[in-house]
Amino acid sequence: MAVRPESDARTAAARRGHWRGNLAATAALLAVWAVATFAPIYWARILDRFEFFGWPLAYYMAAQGTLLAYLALVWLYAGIMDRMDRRYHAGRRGR
Amino acid sequence: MTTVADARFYRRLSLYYAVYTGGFVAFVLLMALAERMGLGPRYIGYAFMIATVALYAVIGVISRTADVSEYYVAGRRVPAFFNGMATGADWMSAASFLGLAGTLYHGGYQGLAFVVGWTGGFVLVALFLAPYLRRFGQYTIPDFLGARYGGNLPRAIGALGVIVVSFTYVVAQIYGVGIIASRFVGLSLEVGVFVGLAGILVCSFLGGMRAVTWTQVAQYIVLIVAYMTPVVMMSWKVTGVPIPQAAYGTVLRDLGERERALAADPKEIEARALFAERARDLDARINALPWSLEAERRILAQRMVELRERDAPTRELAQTERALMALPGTPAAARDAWSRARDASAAAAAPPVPHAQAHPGKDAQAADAARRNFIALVICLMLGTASLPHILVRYYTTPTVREARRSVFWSLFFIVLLYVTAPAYAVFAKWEVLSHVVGSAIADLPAWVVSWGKLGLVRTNDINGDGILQFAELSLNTDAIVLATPEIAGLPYVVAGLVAAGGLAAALSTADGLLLTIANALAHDVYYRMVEPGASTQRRLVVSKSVLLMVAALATYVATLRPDNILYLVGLAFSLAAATFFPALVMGIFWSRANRWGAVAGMLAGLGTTIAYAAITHPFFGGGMHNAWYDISPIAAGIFGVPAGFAALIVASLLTAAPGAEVRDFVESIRYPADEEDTAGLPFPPRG
Repeated sequence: MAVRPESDARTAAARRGHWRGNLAATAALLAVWAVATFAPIYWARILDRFEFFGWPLAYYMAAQGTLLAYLALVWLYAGIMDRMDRRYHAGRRGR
Repeated sequence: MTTVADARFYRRLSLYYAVYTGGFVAFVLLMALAERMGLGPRYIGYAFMIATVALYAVIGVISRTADVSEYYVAGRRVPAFFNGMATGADWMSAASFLGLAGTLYHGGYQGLAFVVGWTGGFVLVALFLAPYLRRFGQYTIPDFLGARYGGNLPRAIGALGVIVVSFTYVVAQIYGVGIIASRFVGLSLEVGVFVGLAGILVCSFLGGMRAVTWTQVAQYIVLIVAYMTPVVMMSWKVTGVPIPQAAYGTVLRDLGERERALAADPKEIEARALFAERARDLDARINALPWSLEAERRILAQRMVELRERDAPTRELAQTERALMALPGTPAAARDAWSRARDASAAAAAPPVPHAQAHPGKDAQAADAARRNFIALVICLMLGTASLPHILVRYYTTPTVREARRSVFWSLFFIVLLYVTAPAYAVFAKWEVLSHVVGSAIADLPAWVVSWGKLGLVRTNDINGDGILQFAELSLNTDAIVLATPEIAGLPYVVAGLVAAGGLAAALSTADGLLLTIANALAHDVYYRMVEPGASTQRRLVVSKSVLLMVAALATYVATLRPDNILYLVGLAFSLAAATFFPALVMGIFWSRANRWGAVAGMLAGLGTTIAYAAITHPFFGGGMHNAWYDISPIAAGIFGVPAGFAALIVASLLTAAPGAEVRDFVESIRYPADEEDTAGLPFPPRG
């Protein structure tokens, strides 16, 4: 990757920041993903004591609720990374 | 941050597909009108099949290309929104369209493992793979393995993995096409399969990825309209609300009550007891093989003699003769046939499980095993989704990394649209069966029982001889439920034709993507990269297209052998993909210390463990569930394969020398935005 020498230090810092931010966002979203996926399945029999507009709650989560959470997660990731990319380019240009 | 030309391209595409959607809806309404005026079901079936396939062929021909970048990655200018639709169609296979609602119908809550697994995997695609693969920006998944780990060995194993996984999957698609063609056009399954092959080839052969992409968008529109229509109509009929996804909660509750009533119904109990007896009887016969086959033959032959002696009615004679003829020829064949009959009887003998009950089991231990299997299956399907080569290559086709990230969102959006509808489909279908079919007289069952019975996909068996159909006496094949439901619910036949066209779109679109992926693995990775690196562009395309033809013909041949049911085959492909690719791809991006030997060991260990586990636990390979670890069924074999792959990758990497500076540079280059990324896409071709 061709990088001009005068901006080397700035680029290195911007890269470190970008990668760390990326990893933090990935880890956070992954944690939400894991909870949204496995908690309603593991505790399904407990959740089924509650009803959500006719659905037993565990059934509703696996059939709809978890899926909507996934959509939100992917949307969030795209938004967060867009912002981080902009900040990265700004950082490299020294602004 | 799209350029002016991109924006114009996007507007033009939107216009085309808006006109197309309008045209399709008008066609459906026209057919409905024609049915009102007396057009027969057979011609409606023809019209839907011919019109949609002709449409895909036209798009395929318009998008023909001889340009390598257009052929492999559609020129990398597919906007996120349309790539999402194409990925949706690429992703939603015959298994999603035909099999999923059927699995939910039979399995209730347990079937939701597929819904959760097949959507949750896209979160992993978004977080771990799509943006990095797009930044890498080559043509295939083995390309990535070859570039990251260096040398031909990782690329070769990757290509092998791509072929094994995609081939299993494509056979299932072609089989699905065969079922649809044989039911709605009246061809035999074998012929139907070959007609389907022609439909697949017109799209992928001429235009590669470019043609496949634009037909897949068209196919997505057909399949989503087709899937929604019957559910919306049933929802309107049953609840008065035309939004099934919101309305089926109350129907689900009523369904549970009805199922509890069935469990206690004396006639049902009688029928179930008779099925249990038959299962025991068949089991005894299987255990007494080969002696029991001979005994059976003698008993029947003896009865023939007796019947002839006392001048029995011809009907009785013919019946006995048929039974004698139908007797399996060899003990091995008898074991096969009787085991299948025993399993079917045992399934009919089991009392119905309330649809919404989570992790059912007769005791706490069985319920825990059900939960373990559910979780294992979800994990395998998710990791498999994130490793399927034909899906991952779709993210090579977007203009930028940013578009690739958005494209995952749109893919998931279009997929979720169908997946939140599938449980509603299953609930309404079951409701129709329980309220209108069960309890009616065997003599006046509706016509669909006969037409689906001919294909062996619907069976009724009045085992207690009372002339009334009990729930236990009706067996609906998983793959037939979606297609048969419009008829079961008494909707106009045009809906059945529409659903068949949708199923065809789902199977064709996935088969297209898969065939292209297999052909590219052979032509690009094996031939161009490993055998003949100096080949001209033109020669590469010729090789690609010939390989495509050969693979398609071979897959079609295998499909005519009628393999195990669609969903099982696809499920195994997921475990295989997950165990082979997920560790090598993810560690290649996130762990720069991973090296060639690690990747090789990881892929082989993952693939080997998965195949070995499936072999020892699935009867198809001669294994059985008594060999299972933690009661995990073979479809979720990847739950052992993936950790084995990760472990082997890490250990082998640490035992061998660290990768050199180029690999570190490579890993750096895919982690950070490139200089020009904020204004436009990467220059193409990027390298190599």
